[in-house]
Amino acid sequence: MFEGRDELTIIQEDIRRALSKPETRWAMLIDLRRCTACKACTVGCIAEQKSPPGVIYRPVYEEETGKFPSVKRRFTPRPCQQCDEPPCVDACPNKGENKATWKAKNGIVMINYEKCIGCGRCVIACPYKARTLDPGYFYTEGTPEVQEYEKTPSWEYGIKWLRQKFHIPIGNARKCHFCYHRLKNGIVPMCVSTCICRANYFGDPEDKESLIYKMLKSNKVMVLAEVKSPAERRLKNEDLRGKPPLFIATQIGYPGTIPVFAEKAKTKPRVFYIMP
Amino acid sequence: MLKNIILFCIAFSLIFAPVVLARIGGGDITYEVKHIGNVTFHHDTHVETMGFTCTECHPFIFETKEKHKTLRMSHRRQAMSCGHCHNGKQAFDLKTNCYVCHLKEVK
Repeated sequence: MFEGRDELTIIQEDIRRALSKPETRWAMLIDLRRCTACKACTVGCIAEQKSPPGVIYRPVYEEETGKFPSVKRRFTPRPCQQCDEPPCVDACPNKGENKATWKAKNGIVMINYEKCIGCGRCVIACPYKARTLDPGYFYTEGTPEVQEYEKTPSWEYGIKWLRQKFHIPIGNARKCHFCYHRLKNGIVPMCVSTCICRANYFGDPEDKESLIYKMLKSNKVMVLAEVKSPAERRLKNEDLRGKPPLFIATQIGYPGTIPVFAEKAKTKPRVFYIMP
Repeated sequence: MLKNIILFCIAFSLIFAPVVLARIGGGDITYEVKHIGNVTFHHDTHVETMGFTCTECHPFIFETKEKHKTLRMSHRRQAMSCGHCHNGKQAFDLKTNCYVCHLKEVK
């Protein structure tokens, strides 16, 4: 399948081929057998998107099962699942193509920061905690000087977003977008390229020559189940009123730290997992 | 060759990518009022000076600009729109001075 080549080279070719076609629908496959929880994807993502404290697009869940001496550890990276039926888009009061958020034809759930009102409804609607409100903090805030590297612009969605106080995307909902700005230029997403274990496959699963198609076909894949914690179900929109973004982030999210897998999910995620 | 193409693509996207330096909430929103003077809502005053978070008003008092096209002075009594806070207790009363909000253009 790999013909002695690096996975990244093949994925890069797959992306180029997919881009030459009129319609592409991106998907990701994460091989949990390969993941070592080095978190290079998390770090790479933060460096690429210049995401501030409190906003992590791709965390890695770690869990341990069994009793000593027969213990097992499983690591689950969790990017945005780019659901085909996204609950976050349904919850948005300003949804629609080129409005605040919408499901694009290329399979990615997009956000337009200029139209987002920062109400946080999508953040509680997402059953995977993939969305967070940007609280507008800097990592080096409170030190003698806010470092220059934090003020560098991010290139999300191919637009230059300067990072300054009281300027968007501060206050907006932010999430993983499969590095859309890199993808449209034919470059692999950052998390895929920084993965030292080559645990990620990326491409168009409908393209029969692509690596992701072959891997999806030859392996049994699972998806993350859409689970809402009891506390989250009780949370109403009114409870979010006047609350700062970091408070909202602590109140909601994926229940606990253990990801729940299922064969199918109602949200139809575009991120698939090969179980260890 | 392939390297050159990639470099060119990156350089191209860097040069021609639109730069956005929009204020939170897209800046000022003007509501047209004939004869008396237009009312402009300043996001800057509310977010930067007063230090409100987005969730303070969105989506409970205001949802979006498209869905909240009209403001009425009668909203004050119903504690809607501006009158939700501008009732004399939390913020200055709408009744006191019309020309704090209704600004007339000086020609």
